[in-house]
Amino acid sequence: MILCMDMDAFFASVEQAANPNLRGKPIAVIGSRERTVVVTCSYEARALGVKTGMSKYEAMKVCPSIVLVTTTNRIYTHVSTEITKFLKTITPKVEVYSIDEAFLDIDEDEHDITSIAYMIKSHVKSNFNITCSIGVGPNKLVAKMATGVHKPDGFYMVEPDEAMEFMDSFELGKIWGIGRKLSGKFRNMGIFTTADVRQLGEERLCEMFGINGSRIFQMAHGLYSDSVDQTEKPVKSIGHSMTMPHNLKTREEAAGYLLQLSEMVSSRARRNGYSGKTLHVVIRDAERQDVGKRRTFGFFTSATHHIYEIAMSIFDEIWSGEDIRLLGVSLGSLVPSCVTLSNMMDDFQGWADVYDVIDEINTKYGKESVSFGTVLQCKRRGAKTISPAWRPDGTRNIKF
Amino acid sequence: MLLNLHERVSVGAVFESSPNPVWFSLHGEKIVVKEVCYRWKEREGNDIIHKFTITDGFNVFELSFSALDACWYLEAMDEGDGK
Repeated sequence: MILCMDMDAFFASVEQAANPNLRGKPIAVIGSRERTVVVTCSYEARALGVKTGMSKYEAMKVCPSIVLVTTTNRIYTHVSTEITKFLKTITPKVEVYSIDEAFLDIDEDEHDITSIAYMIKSHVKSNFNITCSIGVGPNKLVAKMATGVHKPDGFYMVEPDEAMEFMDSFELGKIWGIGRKLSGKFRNMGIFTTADVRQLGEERLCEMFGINGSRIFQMAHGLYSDSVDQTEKPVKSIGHSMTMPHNLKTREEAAGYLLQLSEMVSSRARRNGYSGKTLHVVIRDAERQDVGKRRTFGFFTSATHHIYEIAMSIFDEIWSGEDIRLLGVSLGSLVPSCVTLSNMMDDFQGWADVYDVIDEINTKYGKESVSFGTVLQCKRRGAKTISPAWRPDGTRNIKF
Repeated sequence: MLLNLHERVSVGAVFESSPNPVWFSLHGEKIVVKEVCYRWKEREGNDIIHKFTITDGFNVFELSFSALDACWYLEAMDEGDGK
């Protein structure tokens, strides 16, 4: 059986646990003091209409008594890492799905799964003073859906022979893996539940969605072929984006942030031994319209100076002078075990030594102890929000 | 309101498997830790920083202890009317 553990309003719960003054109050966790959106909010805030993704101004309008708390990522990553360590003492078959979710593959012949679920809940409560919800099912899909049944602090188990009936109790749009777009498509066809999907038949679904049609048909039967995968899937790209504390108006301002983002990307590529040969740059304007461009270049690199030079060249091509709200840089077409820090086209051939010294100093004295001087002009420095792809270790691990 | 301070402070602590603050002095006043609300660790290069939120029953304080230079800091103080 598969067990899915999902922390309840994780960031908000940790904030309330760490600060008794916040307990019982409607709180919203936001990325930074400047403009930002609600990353998550406490159950007290949810009851008053605050939702994830609202701007902080919208949240304050809906709930004037809301307490805004900026993210303290290092506590969340610590708690997540410690909980993952505990889960791995139960079984090595643990898939960390996100910072606050994990799947465990439990052998029912060896363990009483209900006891394990309550042991995890008890450990999380007693060590971190927060709660989690646990769902158990014959596969990841059913287990994941079961976590939401008695949330927060819930437990729900679905036996294999109940899986199909259990899936029928959800609207299609609420099912894990069926997005808003797909459920909208189904809704337009008069299909609202998994029972309706089954009636449509696998052949018709495959005509409509190709190979995904079979997968959707299986899901409608409460079946799911993906097993708990404890190995890290290879990354396809390494990227960072940053919402600016205020709209950027000049190329010089943007250049500082692009250098910072290039160094963040390069630093992660160097640490994890990757080089890439495509670069994607995205600019979001004040109206939240995105414009982006991908470029493939003729060499592999992990170096900040290469990434920055190409990023600036793409930026100059796509920036039309609009105010800039967000910038993003992503290195793709990655090859592992290959750190390339200079090439024969570089005027200066000592870059590899420079990066080695930067990494050595930053490893000893802490992240960003040494960086590029231009970055000092940036009002916002470093990653503020945790990507859903964050993991306790590996390439998806970002240090805060 | 949350006040960020990062002030070096004297702390009385019991060291078991990890440090446990018992009291600290703030501007000459001894503040007794009533409850350690939360504890976590942060890595800063080679240094491991032990962090705590504690309360004296009125205010909430954040203390940190650097394992490398064996110093305590009062990082922040929340006087209770929100953060």
